[in-house]
Order: sequence, then structure tokens, then C-alpha cells
Amino acid sequence: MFMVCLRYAPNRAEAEDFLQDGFMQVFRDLHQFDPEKGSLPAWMRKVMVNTALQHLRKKKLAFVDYDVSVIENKALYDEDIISMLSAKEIVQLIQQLPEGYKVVFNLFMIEGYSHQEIAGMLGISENTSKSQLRKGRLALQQKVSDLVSS
Amino acid sequence: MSEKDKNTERIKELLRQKLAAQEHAEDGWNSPSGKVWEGLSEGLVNNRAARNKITFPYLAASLVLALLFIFFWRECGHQRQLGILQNQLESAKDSLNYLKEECLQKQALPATSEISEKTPKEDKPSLPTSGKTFFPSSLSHTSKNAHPGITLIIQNSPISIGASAMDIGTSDDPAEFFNNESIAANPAENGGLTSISIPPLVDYLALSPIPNNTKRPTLQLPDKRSHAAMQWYASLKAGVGFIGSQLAGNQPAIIEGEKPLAAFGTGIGLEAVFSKNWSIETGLDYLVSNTQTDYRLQVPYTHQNEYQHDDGNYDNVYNHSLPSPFGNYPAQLILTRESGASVAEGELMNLDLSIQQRIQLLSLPLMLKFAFGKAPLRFGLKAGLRTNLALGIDSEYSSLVSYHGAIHQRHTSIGNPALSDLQKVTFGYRLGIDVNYLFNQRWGLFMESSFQRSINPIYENEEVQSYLRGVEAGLGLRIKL
Repeated sequence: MFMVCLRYAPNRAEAEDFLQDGFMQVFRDLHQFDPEKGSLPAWMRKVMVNTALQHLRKKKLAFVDYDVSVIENKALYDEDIISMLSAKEIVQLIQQLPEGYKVVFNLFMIEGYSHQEIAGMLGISENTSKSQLRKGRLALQQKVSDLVSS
Repeated sequence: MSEKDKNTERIKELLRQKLAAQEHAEDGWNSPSGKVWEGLSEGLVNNRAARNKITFPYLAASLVLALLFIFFWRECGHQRQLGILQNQLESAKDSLNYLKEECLQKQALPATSEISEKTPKEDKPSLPTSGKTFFPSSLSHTSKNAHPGITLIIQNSPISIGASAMDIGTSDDPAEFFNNESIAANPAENGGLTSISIPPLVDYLALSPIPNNTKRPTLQLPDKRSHAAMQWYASLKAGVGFIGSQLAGNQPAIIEGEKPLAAFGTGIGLEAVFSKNWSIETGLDYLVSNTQTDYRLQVPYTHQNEYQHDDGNYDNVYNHSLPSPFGNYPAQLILTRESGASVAEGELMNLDLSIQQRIQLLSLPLMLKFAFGKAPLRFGLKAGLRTNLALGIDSEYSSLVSYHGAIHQRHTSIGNPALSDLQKVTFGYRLGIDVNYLFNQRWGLFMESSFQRSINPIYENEEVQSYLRGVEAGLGLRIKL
């Protein structure tokens, strides 16, 4: 679960805060867990994500566009490069993304939510979600390139 | 699915696999520090204490429900009893009206009316041939009637008219029977029928089918009031308001602003009216009040408390006691200085924070009321005491906002968010007005508005003391018991 928090938090210290509050939420809402709807780890993961989003919302989560100077027609990810990176490096790269990109990237690419669901969760339009994801991917690609080249 | 989508799906899968594998790896990197478990343990203890307090709202709600149930159960029984009696009363009224109408019709007919031209046989009433009573439908009239009154046509049979004011007795001979100057027997030529004139002033009771020696039934509504002068009213109400606080000792002002948000309340009341104008009110009110408090904190930055975190940045911990309308929060604010950024020792940091609170109160008012005005609209002025029992508080707080470029908030935590050491009972005064609209003698609608302020602070031993105060407006139903 700490890995989940790490992906949403800007740093390790805040990830610990997310984790602590997330577990508090788990204990508080344990009676709402329905085993027929899914496994306990999946439910806990959902709670962690929601707690992280709650924290980020308090900080006025901004969906702004940053200048991403990457050629778009380049293959978005090279599977070999991804395979080459360790999970720790991937998480650290995701952490470095601007918050809006990071949240949408995590929700879409890793948690598997659709753009419609993400729009509902974050109170944004589907187009904003798509645009944030696209730019997040480009920003990540740039960071991967920088890492590989260094 | 396009090539791009397929690529995305592959990447998604790859990322998930990699991250899932890392979650189970035990290399220390994906494990949080021991502080998390300490915080969790502390939080769970506080949470348990807060959960125990949930029983109070349930108790209060159960009490209110029980009172409502008893009230409506009693009311339904009363209504059912009243309904039966009202039906009986209506039937009796119908019978009397029928009697009255028929008698009046007979009385009002002039001697030369159309009906008088009819032959007696056509007008022949359905008189009983025997027995001692007859009904008003047996009344008739005749054109030869000299009196502008009612003429009874009686077949040669014994008759009896129940009398009260005018006891006319029983006889086989109408002339003898009506041995009275004003009641003359006219042996009219009516084909064997005898007609009798009765003067206009008729006591309808005399025409009643109930024998005169029978005690007449009386309808009495149940009146269980033990004291005739005291009247009891019950009420059920709901309303909105704004409950905030008045702060004392907020110097220097670290509270930037306090915004009472909407409060919602409901309650039951009991009013004892002991004279035309004066009454005493009491009851039980349940109130949920929201408020937001904004803080502007100014703290000098010091490097002495700094410690370096895993990521190279410096954390600086500040502990504050934040006063709020419903109590003081011990707050821990952690600021982070970027490893490359510099801040001068003692430099003042302006920090903003806001806390939202939701308090649940159970109140017991005791008010003296002066009522005036004529029904159906009555106005009331009231004043009295109100005891507030704080059932619990929920708190939410925002992140800390720092105006310094090199400083950003890492963590804000509020200790004791449920304010478990909150002073449970406060007393206050309450002033109010109300308007009552009476639908009938029993039911009424009322609107009330009141102002209240506590006379003892919700925290007594804190530097900043807060006194509950606010306004409420409500609408309710009132019923006479």
C-alpha cells in the first residue's frame, strides 16, 4: 500500500502521511467492505487512492498545462526502456510529474480507471483528463529519456 | 483497437507487473518508517474514544423517537374516541335537524297554500294506527285551520306526544287531550281524520320520539385535565440557524475570521399555559451546527528544530494550540525547506489554515412566555435559560498555506479532532419571539426565532475562551393536549 501512496505523493514523507490516514480510513470503514464485490487488498488500495486524492484536493490540486518539449510522433514508450527501469525508478519518475499529470496518469495507467471515471472522481471534464494524461505521458517520456541518457 | 491503444495497454500491463512485484519485495524502500505505525496506533485510540461518543446521538434520537411514538399513539387513541363520539353527535344532529326542518315547514305554510287544496286522502300521513308515539312525518295541515300553526291530523287512535316544556299527556279524545285554549281540536271533515291545531310556538322537544320520562343522553367529550386553569400544549418543530461563538482572549488575533455555517435543528416542546398571557415552555432540541474558522499564523522560522528528511529536504515542526469556536486544538504543523533554499533565522512565516467543525448539541430550554393577540393569530415573547449538552464534534482542516517561496507545508495534523475533553454542558440565556396561527381549538402552526448565548465558555481553562452564540428560526406544529 505504501507503493500506492508513493506514486501519488510528491515525496516519501507525504506518502507516509497518506498511508497513515489511509489505514485510519480502512479501520473506520471496514464494516463497508463487501467481500462479494472484490478482495480486501483491492478495496484497501481503493481507499488509499481516495485518501491520497483527498489530501491532494486539500492542497488545491491544479490541472495546468506545462510546456513539454517532446516530439509527439515518437513512440510514446519503449517497452525495452520500461523493462530496463526498476520499479523504484519508475515510481520516482512518476513522483516528479506535476500533480495533475501524476494523478491522472496513476488513475488511468496503473489503477485502470476510464477517463469518464477519472473525470467524475476529480470533478474535471473527460477532455481535461485525456489532455492531462497525454501531457503526463509526454513529460514522463522526457524524464525517461533524460534518465537513460544520463 | 488501434495500434496506439494496443501499445498503451501493453505499457499499462508492464507497469502494473513491475509495480506489483516491487510491492512484495522487502528491500526497505517500499516500507514506511516506524512513525506511521506510531501515528496509526495513536489515531486508533482516539478513534475508539470518538466512536464511543456516537452512542450519545443514538440515545438522544431514541429518546426523541420514543417521545414522538408515545405522543402519536396517545393522539391516535384520542382521535379514534373523538371520532366515534363525533359520529354519534352528527347522527343526533341530523335527527334533530330533520325534526326541526319538518316542523318549520309545517309552521310556515299559509292557510291558503296549494297543499291545503289537496284532498285529505292525498295528504294522508302515515300515522301509526296504534302505539303511543308518532313521528313528525305524521304532521299535516288543513286549509280550514284558523291558526297559523301546525295541525296534527290524528286518526282515531290513542296518541302520545313526548313533552318537556309542554306536557300534553295522553288521551283517546283529541279535544280532551289538548285541553288548552291555544291548542284547539278541530273536528274537521277530513274523512274520518281529526285535525288538531297547535300554536306557532312549539317546543320541538315535545315532538321527540323519546318518552318524556326518559333521561336524555348528553354528549360529553373526555376532559382529563386535572386542573381546569392549566392547559398543556405539545409541539414538534424543525429549523435552521447560525451558531458560532464569541471569543474572549484572542489577542493577538490568530483567528483571521470565523464563519458560522448553516445549523439544522429539530425538537419537541411542551408548553404549560397557566393564564391567558403567560406560559412556561420546555422541550428537547437536537442541533447540528457547522462553522469554519480561518487562521493567520505568524511563526518565526528557526533552524534549531530542523531535521533532514530522507529526500534531503529539511522538516521543521511547529506545535500550536489553535483556538476554535468549540474548543482549542493542539496542532502540529510541519514545514519543509527545500534542501537548496535558504531562510534567515527568525524570519517570520505567514501561514494560513482553516478548520471546519460540526458540533452536535442536545439542548434543554426553559422559557417564560408572554403571549398576546387574538385568535387565530397569537404572538409571543419569551426569555429563559438553555442548557446545551455537546454530544460530539467532527473536525476537518485544510492544508497549511505558506507565503514563503522556499517553504512549503509538508504536513498538518490536528490532535484531538473530536475534542474529547470538550466541556460537555454549557448554560446560556435565550430570547425569542414566536407567531402562532391556530387552525382550530386544538391544532396550530407556529414560527419562532431566537437568539442564544452561553454564559459559561465551552473551555474554561484555555487562554482563548469561546462562548456559544447564534440565532435560530424554526417552523412547527402545536397541539393542545
